[in-house]
Amino acid sequence: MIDWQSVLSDAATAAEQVLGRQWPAVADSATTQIAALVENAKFIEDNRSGMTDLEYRATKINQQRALEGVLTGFSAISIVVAEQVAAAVWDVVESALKTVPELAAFI
Amino acid sequence: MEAMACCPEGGIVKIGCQAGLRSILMVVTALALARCAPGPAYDEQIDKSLSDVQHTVDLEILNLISLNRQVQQLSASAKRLSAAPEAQSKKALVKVEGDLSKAQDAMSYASNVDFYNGVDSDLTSVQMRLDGTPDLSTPKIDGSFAQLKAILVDFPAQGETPTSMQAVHAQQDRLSDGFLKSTRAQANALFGTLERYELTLKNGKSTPK
Repeated sequence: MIDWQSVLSDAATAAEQVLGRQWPAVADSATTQIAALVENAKFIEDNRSGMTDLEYRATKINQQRALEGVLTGFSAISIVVAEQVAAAVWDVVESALKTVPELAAFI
Repeated sequence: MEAMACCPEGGIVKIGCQAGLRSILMVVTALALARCAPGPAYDEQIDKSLSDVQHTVDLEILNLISLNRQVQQLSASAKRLSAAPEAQSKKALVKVEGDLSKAQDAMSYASNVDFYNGVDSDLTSVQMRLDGTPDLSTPKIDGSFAQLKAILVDFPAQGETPTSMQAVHAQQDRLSDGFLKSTRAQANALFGTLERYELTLKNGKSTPK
């Protein structure tokens, strides 16, 4: 008997390790998509008898692809968030430095 | 703390306590270099196109599931009518068998090739547009596109087992409800991720420099 709650918990922990603890908002969105895929994994097993052997093998492979694609995608989102944070920091620094006469020429 | 520098007229001069200023300049330079990376910009066209492709795929899967149900109901009706002796039943059977044939034809691979070609083309167009302003995130988001295409439309290499929705459909000429619903969940998880990427760009209002 598969403990799907445990599967989801393990998957969420793995995702957090991949994405890092820096971006809670990103991790929350990723967890939502991962939860949907864990639910789908349960669906696949529960409905195996209604699929052909080819379909069952194919959808299990696609399940792995979907999970990889979600994690890779959220890794991309984390990079964009990091870039935006750097840009926001720069904007604040730039405004402050412009008030320093010795540095104005460099900005 | 003092620093030394070469004087343009020759010799060496002591600059004075400018270590703090140098540190600030180093930070400024590093931040400026980080800021100069253009990165992807939010593109409303990409956002809309992604949403349109997701809707097309979702609708197609739901249509195929409906056709499966229709075929099951019509098959059951045909079986019942063919067992009934009344002449009226025979007339009804002809109609049911006609409807059944149409439904089976509609769910065949040949009748749905245009859908698969359209999705393949649309996903490629969106990805190309996104790759137009690449940054560090681009190879990773390309990876998500690759997985989505592998799930929906890719054909296997010679001798390999088909796995995508299109390849399995081409092999079997029909798809079961279970496979369709599972594929729908997998595709929507990836579409959701790609749309979240676009939303992140939109919220950050990243614009190329």
